Amino acid sequence: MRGPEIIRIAGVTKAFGGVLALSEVDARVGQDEILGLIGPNGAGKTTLFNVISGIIAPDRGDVVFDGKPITRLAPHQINAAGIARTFQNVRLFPGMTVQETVMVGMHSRTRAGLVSGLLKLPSERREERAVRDRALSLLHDLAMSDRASDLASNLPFGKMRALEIARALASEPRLLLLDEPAAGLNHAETDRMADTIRGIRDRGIAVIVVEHDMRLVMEISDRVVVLNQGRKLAEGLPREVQNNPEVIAAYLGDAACHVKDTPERGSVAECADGEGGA
Amino acid sequence: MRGPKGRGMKKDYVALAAITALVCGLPLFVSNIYYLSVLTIIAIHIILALGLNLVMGYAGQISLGHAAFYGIGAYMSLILTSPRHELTAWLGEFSWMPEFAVAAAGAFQHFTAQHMIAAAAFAAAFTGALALIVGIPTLKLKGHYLAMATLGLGIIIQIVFIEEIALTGGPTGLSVPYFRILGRDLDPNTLSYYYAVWLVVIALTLLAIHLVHSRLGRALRAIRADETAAAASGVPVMRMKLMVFSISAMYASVAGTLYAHYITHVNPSPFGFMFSVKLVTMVVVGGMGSIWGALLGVGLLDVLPQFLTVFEDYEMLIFGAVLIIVMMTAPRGLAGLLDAAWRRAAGERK
Repeated sequence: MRGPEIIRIAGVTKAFGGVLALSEVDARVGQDEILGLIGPNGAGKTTLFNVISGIIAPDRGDVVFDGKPITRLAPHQINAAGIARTFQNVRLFPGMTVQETVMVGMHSRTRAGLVSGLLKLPSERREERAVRDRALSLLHDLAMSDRASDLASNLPFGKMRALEIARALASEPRLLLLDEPAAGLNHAETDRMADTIRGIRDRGIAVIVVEHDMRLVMEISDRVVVLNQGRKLAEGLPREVQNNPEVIAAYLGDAACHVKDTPERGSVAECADGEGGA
Repeated sequence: MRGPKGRGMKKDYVALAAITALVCGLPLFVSNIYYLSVLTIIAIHIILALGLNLVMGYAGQISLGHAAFYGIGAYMSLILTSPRHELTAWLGEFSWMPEFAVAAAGAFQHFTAQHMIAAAAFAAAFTGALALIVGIPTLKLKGHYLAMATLGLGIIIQIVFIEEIALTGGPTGLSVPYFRILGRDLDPNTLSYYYAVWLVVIALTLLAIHLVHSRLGRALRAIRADETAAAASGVPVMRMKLMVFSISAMYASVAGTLYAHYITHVNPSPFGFMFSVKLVTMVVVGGMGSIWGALLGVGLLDVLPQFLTVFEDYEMLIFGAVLIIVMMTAPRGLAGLLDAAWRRAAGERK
C-alpha cells in the first residue's frame, strides 16, 4: 500500500436473492496508489463500487473512509465525504451541455441555497461565475474545453468517458472509483486514459479501477485485487497476480487460454484471442 | 467567460419583458370586463401551472393534489381575513384544545384580517409545510408514489371543505372580503386587480427563471436526467425533490389567495380532483420542464373552451384526448414544438 490508508473495506457481504454477489470482501487502498480491481464477469466488482458509493447497502461489513465509517451514508453524502465515481455504461445528463455536466459535479463543494438562487443575490452570481470558470479549467485539463457548450450527448464515446471523469473530479474527491474507463475506447484513447489515470493519482487522489483491459490494468495499477464469484481470490503486485496460478485458472481458465512457462517472466497466461482473456 | 447558461437566462428575461409589455398593453385594447376577467383567471392558472411544472418538469414527479393546495390558499383567505369568520368558536369545539391556543388563534386572525399580506404568507407557509409532510414518506420511494399520495390528500381535503361547515361554510361556502393592501381595497371589478394579479405572475415567473438557472436548478435538471448519476455527483436527490414540491405547493397557495379575493366567495367545487387533472394536462400540453410551457398550456386550455362552449359537457373527454395525443406526438409539449421550429428557422438562416 502506497501512502496512508484512505479507505478500508472490511467483510463486505451482499446477496441479491439467493446469489451471493459479495462475500466477506476485504481491501485497503492507500492515498497514493491505483488499485486495480479485476475478475471475470459477475465477480462482484460493480457491486462493490455500488456499495462503496452508497448506491446499495451491504448486508454485512463496513466501509471506512478516511477513518470514518460511511457504510450507511446516502450517495450524495459519500460524494461530499470525498469519493467520486464513474459508471460502466456512461451515465451523463441528457440535455445538458458539457460544461453544465461538470458544474453539477461541483454541487457538494458549493453552497448557494434556495433564497440566494431565487433572488440571484450577488453572492450567488459570484459563485456561479467561479463554478463556470472552474468547470472550464477542468475541461481544459482533459483537452475538452473546446466542447464546453456542446450537448454532452453529442460527444464521441471516448470524450463521454473523459467527461464522466471530469464530472467526478469536479467534486474534489480523495478517492476516485473508475468502472471500466477503457471499455469501448480504441488503442490511442486507451493510452491517453492510462496517462489521465496516472495523472490523477499523482495529484494525490487514490484510484480504484475496475477494468477488463488487462494491458491497461497491469500497466497502471500499483496493486491488484482479484474477485471471483464475490470472493477475494488474490491480492498483490500486478506481476504477482498475473502469475498466480489460481487467478489464471479462475480468471483466464477457459479453453482459449493456457499457462506457459517463459524464462524471463515465469508462468504467463496466453490467450488465443489476443485480448488478454477479457 | 460566459457559459451557455448565462445566455439562456438572458433569453428568458427578454421573453418575460415581452410578456410584461403585452400584459400592460392589453387593457388598452380589451376594455370588455368579461375578457379582462378571463385574463385574470388565466393569470391565476399560470401561477398554478408554473408551480406544478417545477414538480413535473424538474423533479420528474406528478402531483394530483394541486387543486387542494390551491383550495387551502383560498380557504385560508376566508378563515384569516374575513372579519366575521368564527375561527375561535370552531377551535373551541375541540375539547382538547387549550384555551390559550384558541385565544392565540383569535389574536392571529385579528392581525391577519388587518394585514392580509401576512395571511397570504401564512397560507403559503402552511401549504408548503403540508407538502413536506406528504412528500417525506412518498418521495423516498422510487416511482410515482407522490401521485398516489397527493390524489388521496386532494380527496381528503375536498371532504374537509365540504363537511367542516363551521369552518368552511360547507358546500355553499362563505364570502371573502376584498384584498386590502397599503390601506386600500383591491376591487376585483377594476383594472387594479388585473394588474395586481399579473404583477404576482411576473414576480413568480422571475423567481422560477432564477431557480432554473441556479445551482439548485441545475441539480434538479440532473435529477430529471439521471437520478443515480446525480446522487453520485453529490446532489441530495430526496431533499431537492421535497424542496421543489414544497415550493410548488406554495405557488398553488398564492394562486388560491388571489382567486379567493377575486371571486370574493369560496366554495369547494373549484378545488376538486378534476381541476388537478386539468392542471396536469395544462403542464403536459404546454411542455414539461419549460417555464414558458406553463404559459402556453394555460393559454390554450383556458382560451379554447371559450370558443368551444358547445362541447362543454365533453370538456374532460377532450382534455383526456389532448393529453394522450400530446404525450404521443410531442412529449415536450407546445414549448418543445416552438423550440424545435425556432431552431430549424435559425439553422436555415445560417
